[in-house]
Amino acid sequence: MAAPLFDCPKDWEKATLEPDKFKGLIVSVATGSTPATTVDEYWDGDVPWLTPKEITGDFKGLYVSATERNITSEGLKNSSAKLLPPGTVMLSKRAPVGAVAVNTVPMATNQGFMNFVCGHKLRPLYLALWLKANITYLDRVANGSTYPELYKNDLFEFEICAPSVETQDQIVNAILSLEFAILLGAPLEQTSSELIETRRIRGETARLDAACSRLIPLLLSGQLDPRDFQKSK
Amino acid sequence: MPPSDSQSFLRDLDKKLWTAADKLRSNLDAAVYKHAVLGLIFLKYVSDSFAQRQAEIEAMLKDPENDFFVDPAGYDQPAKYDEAIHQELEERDYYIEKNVFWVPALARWQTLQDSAKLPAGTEITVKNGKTTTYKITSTGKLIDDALEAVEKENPKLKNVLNKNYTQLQIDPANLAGLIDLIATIPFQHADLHAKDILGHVYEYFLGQFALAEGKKGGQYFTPKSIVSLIVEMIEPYQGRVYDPAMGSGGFFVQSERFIEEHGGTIGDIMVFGQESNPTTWRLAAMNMAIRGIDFDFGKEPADTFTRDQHPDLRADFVMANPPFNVKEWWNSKLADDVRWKYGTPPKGNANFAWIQHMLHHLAPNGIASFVLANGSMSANQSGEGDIRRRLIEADIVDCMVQLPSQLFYSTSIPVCIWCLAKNKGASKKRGTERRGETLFIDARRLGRMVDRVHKEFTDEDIAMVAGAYRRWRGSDEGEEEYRDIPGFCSSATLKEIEFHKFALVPGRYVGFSAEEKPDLTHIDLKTELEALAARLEQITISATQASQTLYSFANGSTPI
Repeated sequence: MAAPLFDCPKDWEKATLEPDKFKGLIVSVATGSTPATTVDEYWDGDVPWLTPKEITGDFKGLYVSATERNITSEGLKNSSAKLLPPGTVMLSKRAPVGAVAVNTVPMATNQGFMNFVCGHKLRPLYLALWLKANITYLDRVANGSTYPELYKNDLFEFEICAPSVETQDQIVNAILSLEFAILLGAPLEQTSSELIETRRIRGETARLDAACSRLIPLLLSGQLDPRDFQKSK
Repeated sequence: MPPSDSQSFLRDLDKKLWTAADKLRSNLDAAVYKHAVLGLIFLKYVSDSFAQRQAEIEAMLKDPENDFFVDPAGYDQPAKYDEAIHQELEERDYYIEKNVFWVPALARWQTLQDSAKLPAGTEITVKNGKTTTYKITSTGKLIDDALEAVEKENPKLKNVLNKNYTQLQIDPANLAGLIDLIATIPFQHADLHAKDILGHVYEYFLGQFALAEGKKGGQYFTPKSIVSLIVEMIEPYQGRVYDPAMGSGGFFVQSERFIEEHGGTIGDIMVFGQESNPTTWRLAAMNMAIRGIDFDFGKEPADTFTRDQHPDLRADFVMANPPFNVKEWWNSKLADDVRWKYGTPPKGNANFAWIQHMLHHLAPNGIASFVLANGSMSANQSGEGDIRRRLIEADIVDCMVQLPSQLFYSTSIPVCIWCLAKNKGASKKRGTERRGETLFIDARRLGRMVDRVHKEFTDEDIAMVAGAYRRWRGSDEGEEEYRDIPGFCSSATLKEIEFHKFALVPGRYVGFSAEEKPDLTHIDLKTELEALAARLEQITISATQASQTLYSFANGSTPI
């Protein structure tokens, strides 16, 4: 059982998370690491360095462009952390399991991540949404001996399914448009001087949020065509 | 199963006693106090059983209809008759024939209770058929001498009792208080016997002490949820039962209870155990003695790997909760041990040493079922993965259960149950042919919190897991057929296990229940999109307003 939580159309590309250069979905996986904290020369440089807690809790959205701490290129050289190209899908594998982000600038991570580099047949945002939609699966296989943790073997057997990149883009766009409307709920609440109106906006945001989480699996399982979605807009 | 009024009677009794005993503990370390209290409870038990038997004999001696009747008419003075009865009551054979421990007069509870508060130097008379005097030096010494006397008279209890009350840093007044407290335990209740009541108290105290001792105590005590589940899963009702890491013997006690509930007699099993901690080994022996379970715990407390006490044993049932992930277990003389049939376990972790030790002692048609840390299901370090693969390829892994966390008092690490069988073919005890298959059960969502940090299984939870395994084996009396339940249990083939690279984590095999899957019914997009359009329009209006305000502000005119 390494199947996703929902079935996909037969004609979509199928692969596991294990890197496979020829398939063109996931081409490589890099882990992160922490440079020695006792060496000052490794820290506070210009290489962004991400930890799982930065993309959980209040973190909304998918992109990360800056991190709480930076390391130096010396630090990068003297640890097993890799510099990830922009557009890498970073999945947290412990404390907590299953937080996802995509970097917009070259970036390294600590050892709490498994980082996926996508090939020409897979859009990073599509993969990020796919992983988020399957959090139940990730939680299920996170079987650490002391605390929940995702191991490479468990992750590599998990399946992903993807339509053509054009369709992926449409799916991602549809979801991003929704998220855009949802994310602007908070500033919108601040623009009104009417308390009743503010409350209405808040309720509306919650409702859109719920609709969005219902729509994502429908789109990722091919049950809903993103073109219809855009047409009806 | 005693009726519920005796259940609630026991519950109230447990609580009352524990509260009082805990008060008397003052600042004593729980680990030390445990042995003091449990030793006294045991003494009370042997003394009560003895008194009960004595009353029975006395009734026989005074019953004209009975073969053993002693006729007062044969004596010219009542005093002589009384003396004859007294002498007769001290006849050992009456007790031994009923498996009752012979308790010398000094160790009888009444003697202890009456003498515990006497000042040092007092002489008391002790009448065991013949009369002797005993000089009291201290309460602790009195208890030690009493225990010594019991051991001397009963070879079965040799080295079992903990005779160190003299060294205990316990206030004599508290010790006397403890004796008074334990004296209040009734040894009869409507339908409970001494062994039911004292056995229950004994076990409850073991559990409470495990809680009080925290991390250290949990080593010797397996939570009832897990013990009950394992016993219900493999039903050890007949034959040889073995626990190579027995602690205080919880699995044996639960097996006895299981047999009673299913109308068998305790004589159907013989228990074999091993334990390296000397004081715990004694607790286990007392635990068995209270219940009249026939036991063999080896010559002495000893390490299971280096001094196997039962080298030739092939048990029908092996149950254990061995210590998890033991780092310091290796000894050079274990290098080519016969037990490492599937590969030498890594020197830094004993999990696969325990597994193979248990397999070695398993009869050809037996079942072994034990708790281990989750790492054992998927770890590939230092050869563990290879041993696991060989076990799987030898078709020995019968069933794997993933348990919820927080079942243990001493650790919060997630644990699992392994069940191993050397023969999975159909037989009288196993109605279903299961060669080449393994049952996976994910029980992580079962159980309920009993306090902030501990979880317990309900009877329904236990029935759900054990029932699935029994139906799958075809050893359930019910009519129901086994079937996979998505998200809970699944029977997998060797091929599937190979696909999962020989990881035995049930979560990867059982799939998802309907509640876990996303709701894929279509939603009314139109309504949602209308709301969305309104929202976007509002964003546009707000954005225009904001830009106008800022623009006029920048051009020096105040915004209206």
